[in-house]
Amino acid sequence: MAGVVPYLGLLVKGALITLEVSALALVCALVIGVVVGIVATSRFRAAQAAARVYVELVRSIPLLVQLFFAYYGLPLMFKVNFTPYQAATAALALYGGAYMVEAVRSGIQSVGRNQWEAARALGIGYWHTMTYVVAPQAIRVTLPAAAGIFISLLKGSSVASIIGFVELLQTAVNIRNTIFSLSPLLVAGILYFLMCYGLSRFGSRVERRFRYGGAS
Amino acid sequence: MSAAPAAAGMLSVEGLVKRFGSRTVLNGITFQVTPGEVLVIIGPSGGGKSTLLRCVNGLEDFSSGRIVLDGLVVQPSGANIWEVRKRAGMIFQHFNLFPHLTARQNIELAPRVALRRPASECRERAEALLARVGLAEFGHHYPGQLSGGQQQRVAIARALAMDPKLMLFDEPTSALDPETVGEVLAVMKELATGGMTMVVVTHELNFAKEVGDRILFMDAGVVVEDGTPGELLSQPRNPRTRQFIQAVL
Repeated sequence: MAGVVPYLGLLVKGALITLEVSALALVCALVIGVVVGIVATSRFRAAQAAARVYVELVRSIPLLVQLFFAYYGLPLMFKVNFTPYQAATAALALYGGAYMVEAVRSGIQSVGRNQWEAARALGIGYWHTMTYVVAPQAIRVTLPAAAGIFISLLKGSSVASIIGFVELLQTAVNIRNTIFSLSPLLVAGILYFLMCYGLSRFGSRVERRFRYGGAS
Repeated sequence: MSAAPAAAGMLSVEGLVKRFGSRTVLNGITFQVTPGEVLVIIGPSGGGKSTLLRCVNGLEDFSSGRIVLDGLVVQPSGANIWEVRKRAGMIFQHFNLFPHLTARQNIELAPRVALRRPASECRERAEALLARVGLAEFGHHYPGQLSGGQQQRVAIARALAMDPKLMLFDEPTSALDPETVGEVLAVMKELATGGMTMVVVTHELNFAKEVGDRILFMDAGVVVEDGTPGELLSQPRNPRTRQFIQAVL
């Protein structure tokens, strides 16, 4: 067990890389989620269908397969080379994006039709209604889901170790191969737990801040 | 107001037909409202009253007919529909306030984003309107912290903030506790006295008698009878009208 101590710094560095890739993927997923989520709730049928296909496809294919596709498939198709870091980020972003689309969509749809009508009757247009009336209410549904997505991205990023991306898990595996002990994996597990638990605590604190006075 | 030509009216509805699938909800509605007039529409539920109001400000499309509001031809997908909505304030049965905004923010929002008025001006106006509906102290309350009657008064202030030429009321007191109905009707009466043109769908026949200049009785998508409160409520000509008024009173 003591053998892992000299490697703690390395493991923490691995955890930071995991956090970095997940955060980057989350930001991309948020952008995808908001844009595609708004499209998915619009009245344009073709765009709705396209959003549906994206969400269903990504949710039905294992993350590992998507990762292989990003790392081995995309370079073949587009004559670009992704580093493991880029491939992992792209795969996680597309993966998280699909779930984020659903989170944004259900947030928007949680806001009743009467809110849209009240705004329309006041002469407030679509984008202003979305910005000032719907989004602030939708966020109460979307935000907790987004925190959950961030956590699954964080854990999901461990899959990227398979394409040689040295994040937290791969760091632990490398150390284990040096010191022949399972303790680095145990430490990695603890670091994953601390990050995810911290995020979920942070998530519920933010969630509380978005509550507003009274019922209804 | 003497018989003004249709062009001088605030609102003119001619031969309005609205179908939902095979069901005809409005079957040739025609009436005029002159500036400053209070038109009360009564009739049984499902008779098309709400649908009629919703057609006037383009919340609902219609099948045929013509609506002219303050000189603007209303077409739900037409370019001027936003102009129409700015000129016609609407009060809903269930208030439809924005629950994440305080009473004052509810009132400020539309003038600020739809008319691009400066924030300070919107704020002052909101305070004044809150005072006008008797809620000067409640500006920082969220809708969830207000009673139904207070919420509906905020909704009226919110509509007035857009300086509408015409106010549409869709059963404004039907969702209220009996003890708060009076405060909403009092605000509406004050509006009417101030010269606001109003179209009010309601079951409050006392309000119709006291404040209404004219009453329209609607049933099954048509205007059954149209007259002054004195005529229509005391001596209804149509047996259907008589039956309804006896049942409600």
